[in-house]
Amino acid sequence: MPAQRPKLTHKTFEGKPAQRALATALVSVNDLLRLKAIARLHAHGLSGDVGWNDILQEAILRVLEGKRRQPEGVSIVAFLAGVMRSIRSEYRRRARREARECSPRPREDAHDRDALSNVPDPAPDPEALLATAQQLAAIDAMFLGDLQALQVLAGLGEGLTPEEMQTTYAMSKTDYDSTRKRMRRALLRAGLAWRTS
Amino acid sequence: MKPSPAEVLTRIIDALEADLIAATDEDIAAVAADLGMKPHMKGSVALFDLIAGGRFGDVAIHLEAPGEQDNGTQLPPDDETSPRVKERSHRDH
Repeated sequence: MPAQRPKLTHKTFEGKPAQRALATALVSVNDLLRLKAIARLHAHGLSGDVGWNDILQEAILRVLEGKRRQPEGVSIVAFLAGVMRSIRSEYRRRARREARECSPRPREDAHDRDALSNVPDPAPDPEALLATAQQLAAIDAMFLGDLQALQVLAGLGEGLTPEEMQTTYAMSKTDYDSTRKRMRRALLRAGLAWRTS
Repeated sequence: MKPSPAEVLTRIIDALEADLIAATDEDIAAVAADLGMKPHMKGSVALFDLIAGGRFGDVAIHLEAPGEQDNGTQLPPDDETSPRVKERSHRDH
C-alpha cells in the first residue's frame, strides 16, 4: 500500500513548511525534533548562507509539493533525512562550481575546455579538505571528555563493526551499548538546544 | 588502505544519522527535560525556530514575549509560569 498522503486543508498553506507538515500530520512533534537534530548534523561545514533550517524546510517543502515521494516501508524521518542529504550535496556542488567559476583560470580554447570538463578532478580541493576537517572537529567537540564515545567515533570512521570496536577498545557489550545511548542523547541535546546559529 | 577524511566523515555522519532516526520518544523526552523544554506544549522553544514566522496566533504571541531577544543566549525553559505562557493561557480562555 502506498504511503498515505497528507490531507490538505486551507491551513496547509499557512506558515513554514515544518508548520504545514505538523498541521497535516505528515510528521509528529517528536519526528520534527529528530529531524531538527539530523539537520544540524548535516549542516556542519556548509557555507554561511545556508543553514540547517534551510535544509530541513526545503526537504519538507519538496515532500509537501509532491516533488519527492515517500517510498513504502521507509519512515518519514528516514525519508526526509535522505532528502536533506541530497539537498546538502546539491548546495555543496553548487558552491564548488561557483568557487571554480570565480577563481582565475589560464586561457584555453574551446576544444581544451570541452575536453577538461569531462575529466573528473582527481584530488579534493583544499577548501573541501578544510571543510571536512572542520566537520570532523565539530563532531568530536560534541563528545569531548567522553573517551569511549571518541573511541566509538574513531571506530565508525574506520568502518568497524560493533564487535570489532569492542575488541579494539577493550569495551564490554554493555559499555558499548551505553556509550551509543550517551552519544544518541548528546546528539539530540546538541540538536535541540536553543542557539541562534 | 586508510580511508580518506571524506570517507571517514561520511561513515560517521551516516552512523550518527541512523542513531538519531532510531532515537526513541523516551530519549527525546529525557533530553527535552534536561533542557527545560516541553516540546508538546504549543509555542515551545523546542520548535520555535522551525515554525516562527508562521501565521498561527501562538507563534505571534511567542515572538512578542519578553526575554527572547536574538542574542545567542539560552532561552528560558518552557515553564508554565513564564510570561508568554501566562499571556497565551489568558488569550486562550
